Amino acid sequence: MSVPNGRDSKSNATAGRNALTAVLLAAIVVVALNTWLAFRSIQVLVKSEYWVQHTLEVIGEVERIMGSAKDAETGNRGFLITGDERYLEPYTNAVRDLPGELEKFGTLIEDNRSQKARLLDFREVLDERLGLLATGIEQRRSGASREEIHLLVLSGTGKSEMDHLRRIADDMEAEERRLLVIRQGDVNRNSNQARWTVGVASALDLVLLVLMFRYLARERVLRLEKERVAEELATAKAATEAKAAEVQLLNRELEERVRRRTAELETTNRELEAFSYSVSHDLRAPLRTIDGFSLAIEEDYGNIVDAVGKDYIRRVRTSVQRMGQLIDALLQLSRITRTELARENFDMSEVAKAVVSEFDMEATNADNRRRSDAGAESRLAVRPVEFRVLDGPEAYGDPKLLRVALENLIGNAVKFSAKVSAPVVEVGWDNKESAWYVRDNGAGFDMFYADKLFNAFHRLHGDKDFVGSGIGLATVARVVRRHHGKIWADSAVGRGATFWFTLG
Amino acid sequence: MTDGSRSILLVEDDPDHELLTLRALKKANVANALHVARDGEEAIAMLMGPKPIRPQVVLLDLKLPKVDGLEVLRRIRGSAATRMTPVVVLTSSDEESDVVRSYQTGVNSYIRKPVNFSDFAETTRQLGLYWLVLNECPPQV
Repeated sequence: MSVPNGRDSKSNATAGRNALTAVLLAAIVVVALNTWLAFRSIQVLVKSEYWVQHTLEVIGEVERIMGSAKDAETGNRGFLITGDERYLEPYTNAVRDLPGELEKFGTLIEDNRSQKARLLDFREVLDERLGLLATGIEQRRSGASREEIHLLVLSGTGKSEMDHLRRIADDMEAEERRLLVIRQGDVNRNSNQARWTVGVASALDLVLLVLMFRYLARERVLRLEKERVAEELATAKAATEAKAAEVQLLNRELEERVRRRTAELETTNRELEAFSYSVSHDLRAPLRTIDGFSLAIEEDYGNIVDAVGKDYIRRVRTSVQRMGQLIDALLQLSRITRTELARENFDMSEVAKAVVSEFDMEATNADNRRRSDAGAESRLAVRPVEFRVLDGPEAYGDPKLLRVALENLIGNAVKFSAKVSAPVVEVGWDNKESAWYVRDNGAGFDMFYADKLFNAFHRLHGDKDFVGSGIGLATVARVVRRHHGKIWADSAVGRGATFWFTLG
Repeated sequence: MTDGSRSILLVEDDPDHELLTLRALKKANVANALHVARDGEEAIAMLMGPKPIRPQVVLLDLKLPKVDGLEVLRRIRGSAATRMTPVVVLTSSDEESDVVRSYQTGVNSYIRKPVNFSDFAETTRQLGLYWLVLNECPPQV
């Protein structure tokens, strides 16, 4: 899997945390609301049940009061008939209990105005009745006649009062029964409502719980995935660090090796410099001595040396010159290796023009010398080289070293085109090859030997045809190599040669 | 003090070269008096010793036994009596460092000896002509 970039994953995590907080808060609010709703509907239910209970209690109380009134009536009647005090007991109990019962009833129906009005009626009628009963008992005790008591008991008021009480009690009971029906309905409704509320709330809670669970499960998967990625990253990081440490160690070793090699190279360079110095000074000195004394013999003892002797002297001096040239070429080759490369942008064709003008001047001088030395015969042998220097792009390299290279290449071109009738040497830039070139129309060479061209001391032409040190092209190759460039040649025998080179 | 007028001091350790230089100067007809020092020490002794010579020009080789040419040049330039004496380095070396150091030390001219003796003879002739005849030397101290 691809690793998300740091900022995105961070903002994702923040958004996730915010969403989680919001969902949790919403869940808490919903659950709290549900709890409150359920609690409230239960409260309503409890209240309506209380009212049902209350109604039943009121009905019971009405019954009890009526019972007590009946007890008083019955006990009274028994005593009046028999005169036996024992029959009075229910009456006495009822009279004792009734005020409390009425009091209690009064508080129970405190909130119901119509019941209160009925209770007032009831008390009035009851008081009247109880007063009558008390009068009967007194008369019986004071020994009233049986008829009197009979009259009193059977008087219409007694019966009608009891009926009146019963009616009021029935009314009150009926009222309570009516309320009971209403309240029972309330209870049923509230109970249903409570059931619904609790059910819906619980279902909602359950849904929320499931959602939360799913969310947490997804979070867990994400977290596990994140942990796995983090672990992978840590492993990769550790591996990278180990690699880096290894690379660092290798680098240190490499640096140490480079330092050692550089030191060795510097030593070698110093030795080479000392050697070159020695060569340049000490090897030339005896050559000059040989040449000097050869000339001295020729000049001072010319009269006793014959033509053959003079030829020998000439050969000695020619060899000395060659040796001198070899030493010079070798020194140039070693100097190219030793000197610091100083690159700059410069005009290659300007350098080529300067080199060419030097060759021109040299040719003119040689021509003049030959003219003064010899007769018309040798003048015919002089073939002026036509130089063509074409403009090219700006070059980036060490102009001093490239001048040496051009000197050698142009020198070679001049040398190997010396024997054609109209020698032409061209220097320029080839767009197709993207390289500089020096071209002549001279002797050329067999491409079979092309790979040996740039080795020092290797000469393709014998001494008899062309003189040369065999170091010139090696020097050119070294200049090009020091610029990280390439050098190659193209030629065919008798059809001239072209040397290309690039600067890296 | 020896006759210093129109004299040359040649500092050269190679007797062959001394002989050839002498011959070339003779042929050019410029050498009135040629002093030769075989090493740097001898050259210093001749110029700054108890009986110093005052040559028109010093022809100095660089590679010399005991005290090398550059040191001799340094001593010549360091002494009040010889400070203005013309010194020409005449050497086989064409190392750039030698040329630069010679000029830094105050040489008047730097000539590389050609291997071809005809050229060398011509160079010597021109040198003698220039320094002994054409060139106006500073007055002797």
